[in-house]
Amino acid sequence: MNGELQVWDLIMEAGLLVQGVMALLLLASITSWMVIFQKRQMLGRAESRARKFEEQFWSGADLTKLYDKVAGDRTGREGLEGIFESGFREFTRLREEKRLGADALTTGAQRAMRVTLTREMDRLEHRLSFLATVGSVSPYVGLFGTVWGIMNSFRGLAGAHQATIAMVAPGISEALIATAMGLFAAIPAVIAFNKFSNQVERLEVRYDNFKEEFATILHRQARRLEERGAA
Amino acid sequence: MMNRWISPERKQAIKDQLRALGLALAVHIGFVLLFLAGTWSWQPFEQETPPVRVTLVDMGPVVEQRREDEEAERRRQEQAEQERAEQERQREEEAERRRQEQLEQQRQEEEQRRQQELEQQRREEEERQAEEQRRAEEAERQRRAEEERRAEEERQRRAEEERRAEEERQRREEERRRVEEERRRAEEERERELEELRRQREEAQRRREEEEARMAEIAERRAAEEADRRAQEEAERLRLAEEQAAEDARRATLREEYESTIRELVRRNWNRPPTTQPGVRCDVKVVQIPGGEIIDATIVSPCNADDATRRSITAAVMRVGEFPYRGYENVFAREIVFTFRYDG
Repeated sequence: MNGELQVWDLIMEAGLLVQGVMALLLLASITSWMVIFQKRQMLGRAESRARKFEEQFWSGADLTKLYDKVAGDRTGREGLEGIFESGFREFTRLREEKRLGADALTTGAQRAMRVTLTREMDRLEHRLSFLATVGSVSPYVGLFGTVWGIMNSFRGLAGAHQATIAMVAPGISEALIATAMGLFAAIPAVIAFNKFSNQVERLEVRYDNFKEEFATILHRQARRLEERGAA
Repeated sequence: MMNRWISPERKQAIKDQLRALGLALAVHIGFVLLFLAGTWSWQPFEQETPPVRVTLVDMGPVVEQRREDEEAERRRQEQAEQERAEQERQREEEAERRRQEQLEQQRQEEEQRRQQELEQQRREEEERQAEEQRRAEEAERQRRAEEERRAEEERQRRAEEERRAEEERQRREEERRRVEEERRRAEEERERELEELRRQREEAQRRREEEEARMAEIAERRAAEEADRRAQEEAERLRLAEEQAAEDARRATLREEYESTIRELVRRNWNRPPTTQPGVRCDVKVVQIPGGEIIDATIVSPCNADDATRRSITAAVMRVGEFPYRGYENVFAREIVFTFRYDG
């Protein structure tokens, strides 16, 4: 019981600035953990959806049916489904205008898909930079609190006649709590940032591949239509 | 009320955020609990100091009493000091005397011990000399025994060497005989091998000659057959050529007949325009299908007629409508070119 009170008292009795630093770090830590959980859920969901959609897409289903299904689903028009939906919609819209050639059709669809892909990447990378910032800055913030606390305790020491270690020890101890908190906030943030940016990169490659493959399919389709029109 | 303008996606996002916040808080609370558990056994920083009790008293009479007591005490101490000094001196003298006596006794003992040690040394010396003498004699005896043994060994060695030389000689003799035998056997072997070789060579020669004879015979037979076959082939070829020539002749006559029939048919259907001059020679190309039905007719060069005549000729061909087919299957062609003639 006594020890618990000691630590708590150390924090409560710290200087105003050190307390502010600690509060800031606590806030940063909580927020970064929040981001970590959100991103984890989001990326996990995106990956599982992409896998499911790819299975559906390559199982040889009718593209028009697939499009109707995706366009009808209001909640989930993200990831691969979004790319597929935008590409196919652009393709059908351009096909209404008979004059366009196969290349023009495919290029239009590809452009639409690229836009969607960029938007999707932006959505996935959203707030990852916050993790990077917390990871790199919070140790410095903690160190700042510590240095400030130690500075104050040494200044108090200057006025005393008989200086003992017992006079400065509590001050230093309380100041070091700030560094500990900074590290506590930084380590998970850095680990999570590395993990997530890797995951996002892999997803991007996957989306890009799908986009190219789908464009090829559309191009083939457009060529067939063109030939039928000419015949 | 707010739900009215919040879309389901937004609601979902907010729910996710709240869930994440809850998880983050849970993680922190968990860490704080761990931290507290880790610091449970920390020692408090203040050391507990023993309490100091203070009592106030009046000190005047006590001081007076204490001074007198101290005086008496001091005197008593001095007296005791003197007595102690006297006793100390006597004790020292006594100690001195005793030490002298002890020293004397020690010196005597020392002397006696040295005497004993000398005696001991002398005795040991004697013993050592006797020992050495004994050891020298022993060594001498051993040396002699050793010499005898060595001479014996030398003798044995020489006998051994002689025996070995003898053996060596015998062995060499044996070797020589063996080598001789070997050479003889090798010689015989070589003889036999040479014989064998010669026999084989003769055999091979004989076989080769036979083979050559057989080959020559075969070649001869084959040449004869070849000549025969060639003659037959020649005859066949000649026969075929003759047949071909006959066929060609038949075909040529058939073709001529076909053409003349066509020409006649066309002439019969021809309406001569008034401008036509005698001496018309025009090549007409006709496209027909199996069965003789005419698809198309055109004038090809050379043609020396005027336009009206040309038109009239193609019209005549088209009027014919169908060329004869039965009987002319062999000379039928999809396209045929014939020369139209008119000589007045």
